[in-house]
Amino acid sequence: MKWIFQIIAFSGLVFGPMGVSAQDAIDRYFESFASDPDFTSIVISSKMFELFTKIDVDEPEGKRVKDAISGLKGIRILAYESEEGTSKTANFNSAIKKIGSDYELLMSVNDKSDKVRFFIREEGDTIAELFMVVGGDQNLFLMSLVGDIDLEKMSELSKSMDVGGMNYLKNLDDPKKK
Amino acid sequence: MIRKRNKYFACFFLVALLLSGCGSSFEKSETLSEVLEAKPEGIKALYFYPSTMRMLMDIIGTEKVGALEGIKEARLIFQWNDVNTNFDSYASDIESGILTEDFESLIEMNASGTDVKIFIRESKVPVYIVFYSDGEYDFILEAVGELSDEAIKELASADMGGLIELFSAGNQSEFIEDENANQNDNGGN
Repeated sequence: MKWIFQIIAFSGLVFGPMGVSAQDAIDRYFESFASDPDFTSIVISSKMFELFTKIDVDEPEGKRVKDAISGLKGIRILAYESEEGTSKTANFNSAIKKIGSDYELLMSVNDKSDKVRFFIREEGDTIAELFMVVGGDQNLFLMSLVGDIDLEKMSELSKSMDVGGMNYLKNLDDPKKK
Repeated sequence: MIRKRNKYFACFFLVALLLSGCGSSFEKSETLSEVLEAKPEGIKALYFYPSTMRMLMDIIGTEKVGALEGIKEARLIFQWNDVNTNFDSYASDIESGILTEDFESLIEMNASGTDVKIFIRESKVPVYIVFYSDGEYDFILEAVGELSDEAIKELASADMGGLIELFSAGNQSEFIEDENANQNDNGGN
């Protein structure tokens, strides 16, 4: 069940979604940088999640992951990490500026090396998209999760993974950081 | 009389059964078939059958290809990096073509110059098509069969170049195998 995230490990970073109705920040970045070899881009479609839900799992952890994933319709990730001394072609501040008014800031975390911002886009009473921006001096990480987003499940999901930017999702159920 | 009729019926049934086993019963991509039938210059194609997969496991070991055990048939289309072909153009045409054949995207990934796209068409026997390009190797893999999650991971990350070299060892010349001949040889697996 964890293989989906292991694919990300293969690329050295993490991944991303589909099905966003309006052109959002990550769309704009995808247009500009998805074909740039300095960026890692990953798109996982709704079909993949549909297949996940058909897999039989026995272990409790697998069931938790399956439960968390079942609400997702897509994940899309765009990541950039520059080597020291090279010029940055993308940065945290410009990414934040590109986020549309449909998105509401949910949580911000500033740690030693990275700034993290979680945004949500609501449709009616549900969260239709969770968008995360992580930026440091030499790196930028954008992740968009689309579907019927349950923040508690996303937090649980991140605890089952030990991958790149996913760890920041653990903060979603930490009220001190909200 | 009835016994004789039953005998004919049994013969007919047997012949029908054998005939139904001839030729591939799997719904492979027509777009890929059309491209291969055109025998594009510089493009090579390898066909894999259950017997090929068994052979692979015997030779290479299940630890390397065991994840692909569920594949019933496969077609691997590639070019050598030193051969100048329009592979990108073929790949682009094939990608457009398979989308009209009800294939759906599963994953698209671009990391460190490596592009991987995986598509699926769900049917009685699912068909996966993988587009891979890393600057050194470009290939398109069509795999018919039930793939485990481990297998999809393999497809997305495996050193497929090594597999290509293994199969093409000692044969650097262009070749496109006769798919029908292979199917007949394999008794329509």
